[in-house]
Amino acid sequence: MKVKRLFVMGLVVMFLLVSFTQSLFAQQKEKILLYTSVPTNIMSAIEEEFEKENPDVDLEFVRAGTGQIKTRITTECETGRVEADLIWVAEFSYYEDLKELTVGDTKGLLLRYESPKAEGIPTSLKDPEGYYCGARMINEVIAYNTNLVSDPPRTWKDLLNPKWKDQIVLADVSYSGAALVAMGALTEKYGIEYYQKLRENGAVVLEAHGGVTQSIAAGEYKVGMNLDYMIRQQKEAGSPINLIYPEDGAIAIPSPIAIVATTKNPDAAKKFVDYILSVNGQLAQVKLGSTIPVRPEIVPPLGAPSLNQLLEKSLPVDYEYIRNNAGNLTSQFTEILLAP
Amino acid sequence: MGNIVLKGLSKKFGNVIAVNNVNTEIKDGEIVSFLGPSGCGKTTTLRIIAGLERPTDGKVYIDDKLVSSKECFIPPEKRNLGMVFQNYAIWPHMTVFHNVAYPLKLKKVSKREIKDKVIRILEMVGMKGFEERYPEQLSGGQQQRVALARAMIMNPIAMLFDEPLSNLDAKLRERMRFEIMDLHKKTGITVIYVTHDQAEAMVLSDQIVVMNQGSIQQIGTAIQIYCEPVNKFVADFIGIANFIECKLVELGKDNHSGKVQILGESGKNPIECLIPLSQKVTLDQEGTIFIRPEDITLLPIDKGEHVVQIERKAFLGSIIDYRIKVGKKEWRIETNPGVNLDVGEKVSLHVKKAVFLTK
Amino acid sequence: MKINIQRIIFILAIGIMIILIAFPLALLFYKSFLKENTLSLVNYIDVFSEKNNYLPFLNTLKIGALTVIFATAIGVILAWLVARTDIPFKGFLDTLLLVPYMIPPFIGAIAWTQLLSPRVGYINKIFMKIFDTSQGPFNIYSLMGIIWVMALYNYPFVFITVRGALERMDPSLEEAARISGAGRFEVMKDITLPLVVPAIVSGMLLVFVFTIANFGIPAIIGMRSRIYVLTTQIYRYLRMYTGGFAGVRLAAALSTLLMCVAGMAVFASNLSKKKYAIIVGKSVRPGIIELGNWKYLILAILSVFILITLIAPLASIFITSFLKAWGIPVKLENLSLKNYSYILFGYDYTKIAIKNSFLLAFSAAIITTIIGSIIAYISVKTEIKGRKILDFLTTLPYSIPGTVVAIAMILAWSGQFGVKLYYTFWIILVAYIARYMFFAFRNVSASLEQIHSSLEEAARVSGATWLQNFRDIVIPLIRPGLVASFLLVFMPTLRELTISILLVGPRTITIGTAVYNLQEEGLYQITAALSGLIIVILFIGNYLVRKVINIKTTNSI
Repeated sequence: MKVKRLFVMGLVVMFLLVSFTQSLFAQQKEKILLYTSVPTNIMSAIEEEFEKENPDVDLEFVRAGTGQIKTRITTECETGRVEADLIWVAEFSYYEDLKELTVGDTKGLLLRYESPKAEGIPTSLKDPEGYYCGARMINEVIAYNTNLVSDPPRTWKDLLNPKWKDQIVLADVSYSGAALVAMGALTEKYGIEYYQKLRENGAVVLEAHGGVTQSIAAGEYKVGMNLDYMIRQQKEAGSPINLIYPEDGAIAIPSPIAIVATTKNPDAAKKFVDYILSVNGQLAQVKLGSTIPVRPEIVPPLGAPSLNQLLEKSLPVDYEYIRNNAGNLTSQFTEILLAP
Repeated sequence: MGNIVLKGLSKKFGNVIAVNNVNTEIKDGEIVSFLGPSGCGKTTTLRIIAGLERPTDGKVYIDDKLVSSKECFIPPEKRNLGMVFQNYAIWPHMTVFHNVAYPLKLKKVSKREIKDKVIRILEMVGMKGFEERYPEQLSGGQQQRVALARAMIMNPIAMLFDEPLSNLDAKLRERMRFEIMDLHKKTGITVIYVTHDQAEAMVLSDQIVVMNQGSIQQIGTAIQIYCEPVNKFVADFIGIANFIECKLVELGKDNHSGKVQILGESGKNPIECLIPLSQKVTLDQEGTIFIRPEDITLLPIDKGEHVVQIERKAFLGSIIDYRIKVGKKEWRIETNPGVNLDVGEKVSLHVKKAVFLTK
Repeated sequence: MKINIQRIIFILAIGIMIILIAFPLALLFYKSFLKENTLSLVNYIDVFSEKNNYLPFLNTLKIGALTVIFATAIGVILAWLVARTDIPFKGFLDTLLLVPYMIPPFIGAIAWTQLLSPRVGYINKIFMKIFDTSQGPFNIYSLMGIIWVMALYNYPFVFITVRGALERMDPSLEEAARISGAGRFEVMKDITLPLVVPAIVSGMLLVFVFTIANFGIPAIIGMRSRIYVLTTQIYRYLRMYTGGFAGVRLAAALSTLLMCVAGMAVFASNLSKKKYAIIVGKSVRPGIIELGNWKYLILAILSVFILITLIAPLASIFITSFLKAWGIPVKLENLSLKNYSYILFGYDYTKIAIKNSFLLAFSAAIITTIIGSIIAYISVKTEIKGRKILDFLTTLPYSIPGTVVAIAMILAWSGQFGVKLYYTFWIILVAYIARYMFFAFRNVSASLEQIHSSLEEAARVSGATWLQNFRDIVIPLIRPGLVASFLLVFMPTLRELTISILLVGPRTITIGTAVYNLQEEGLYQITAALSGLIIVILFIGNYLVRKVINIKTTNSI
């Protein structure tokens, strides 16, 4: 019995040693931590590509819904220390909020950085003050299951048609930044009644767009409000799902990236921003994430509109309005669609 | 009423033979004890009679009706036997009243009649006034009485007792013994009593069935098994005995008496002995004699047959226990307190009674 | 000398327990009455008047009650079958029926959504194919769905307690009834059943408390259909208010409510506490009922039960983990190892989560065992005044749902009192220790109670100081209790979700929260792959630990 006990203790010691030395080794590289709402699998692939080009940087990321990231940032500010070096979420207006947050002695959470790679990117997708820059174009569109649906809805209003009763699915605004932006745009155009009618038509809410995509592809629901790139990816993989850029206007969301002011590795952080905005970075996103690039010269994914075509056809989004009404919109959504 | 016959009863648990070919008859109105050490099969036999176990072989008859055999089995609830368990088995979630009333309740006797009978029987066992108590509030002896009452209220054809007194202290045990005997006298009911305490068996029983390793060793009255045990086990189990290896050197007429020479002590005089009828003997046969400690007298050196030295002495109140050595063997002798000898003193022995047993 | 050391340890222990448990809970209670720094009942009024709040409260009660009914029915029947009949394959049945313990409840919930999703679930699809309908007959996303999965996870509590009681019951109690004239059925009705009622009641209490405190199952199954319970509503409040602590106010009120419900259940069960001394010393087996030809029918039903409740969810997780995409037919060409290769090699969080969970579980188990033993010793073996208070402080969090403990921890250790633990490893550890201390305490107490004081007295008389006595006599004798308490804390904390979901930060993710986050994100295949990996790890871990423990305990005194 003494032998077995020693054996177990030996295992434990080895385990601890290994994890300790692992972290030692990792120390050699510059470490940066990214908070992002980019889906986990896509982010992992981008991380791999980035680290190939920048072997002296160790990128770690935390993936969560925009709503969760917001909570985390607020709480971390209150405790006086923000862990992240970079933030990359879908809600454009949130970055204005970040400019005003204080953490410890630092006023303003973002580091001003105008990346050389940001030059070709349309000004409407960048912060004029230079604190953040759109890194990918994602769009809220209509998704449908190709096995079950032969005449998909072509406009947002079509979703309210009773023939889609109990067959509609969408993402939670308090979780997903993109969903919040979409709600902002849609309520401006059609009023809050739009969401009330959605509820009456039996719409079901899932946390994330990822779940929305999966459930439509599986046939759990026939149609939904979803993000274009996810639908494209599943379609390429062979799932029976397709998308429609609504005729009354898709909602274009330029998901921006920014550096946190209190970062300990600003150089490494800048390298990442440079990469994401560069041609290589944009190509990687198109290939690995099926997103529409923010650089107009990059060819969009197959079947997707180009950046300029997109910007023409989309619903206008008033980011001031969203910024001032984020809380309001969220509670209205919760009240209408999530209350029992 | 209450006649129980066991024919060729056997019980195996896996490879272990617990009861081996037990044959006996318990007559109506008798108190019969099954006596033996732990694991001798007495409890198993009782449980087979009760219907709590099924025999592997053999038959059980109650009043000439077959109740247990390999093919036939009447379940315990239909046998109308009363049973008192070693740990009383009083149901903790029922009051004394409900415990005792339960057998009648099952028979759908009217509430009024139940109340009547319960009160009467509780009085009979000396538990009047305890009706509303719960078992946890009772002492061991009180619980035992409740168990007794519960068994008796059924008016059973026989009463089975499974070591009922072994959890009680000595004084209480003695008292309960007499109460059981009283009960038997009053009701005349057949009693089968399992115990490992030979004193208990001897006090209570009309007949004792001595068992060892599943088989019956001897059936007889207390005197019979004490004075005429058929083998060494019985002789040893009942009372204390000195066992001495010897050789039969003289055989009396009718083979009922003789003389033996202690093996290895050819110098000493042969000892007279009795030969029980159960023993088949021949001259020069080797065997054992047993001598009860109270059957040896200590005399001055010149008066007895063997000269020995007192090795040890213990004063026990009503007797004195002496140990002496004959050759290599230690003998045990009990005398009354008047015989006061010292350790180291030389005395001589006189054997009043010795009994010869073949191996 | 002895008294001084004991006194010091006692004061330390009380201090630790107050800081660990009493202070956060008191703070929670106090905050629930605060709104904007004024004491008022307004939070509670909000709670009871807003349907957002009283509906979860009602749902919690409903689900609790119905789960108790189903779990008890299943548990009692199974316990009776295993303990009192001659059903074959008992040893095998025994282990099988306890496997739910090794699949974390939230993974079980995920599995059941894969099986019974109305249009896509594997089982529903089978029905849809047979009957040619567009929708299957079962909808997991319903109140009954939650109750179904809860009952499947909870019946082992009842099964274990009732089976233990049935097996340890003095057989002569039933034999005496048969002798008195009772047939088999009457014996069960009049004797056996009333005597196991205390065991059944204690099983029911465990089921109820576990059900109302659980987060994973109602989160995964209920939220989509807008069915909320107290635990999920508290979670939503924390998340809804992106301003950090605004939501904590309402969460505190709901938490206190949850705590009261649990407390009342414990109180109610104590009322009916009739302790029957039915445990017998002899190892005589109670009467076994022969099932005869019914045996085969019952075995068949049992097999179907095991198939449905055990094999189906496991199969579902593993099938989904090999599928390339959600909802595509299960054909060979649709299967691949890519989900597993991502989990094992691509997803950073797998390793981090596993490492964190093991570290947390190990630390929590060791610390609670040590502190719990000390407190147990003080409680059982000393006469120090005030040890009852220590008892109470240790027992208190037992019936308090994990969610409540987590909220209390957030309130206490987020910086207002100088200690900033939020989102660190330590706050999770502290929460675990507070929550599970009772298990260690109770186990070691039971072991200590079996050591007669004469054993220690003999040591003192032989010349040992109190410390030497503790080291050489007490510790070796209670070693089985120490080991048991280590395990009792290690296993649940390893796969815990309810507490950590509210407390994890970026680098402190645990196994449970990793799975939950992936599920939330909608990456069902990857979730299934991680779940599959975890089930395998838990299984092996369990097996290894038992092997080591067996060796330890058979070699101890």
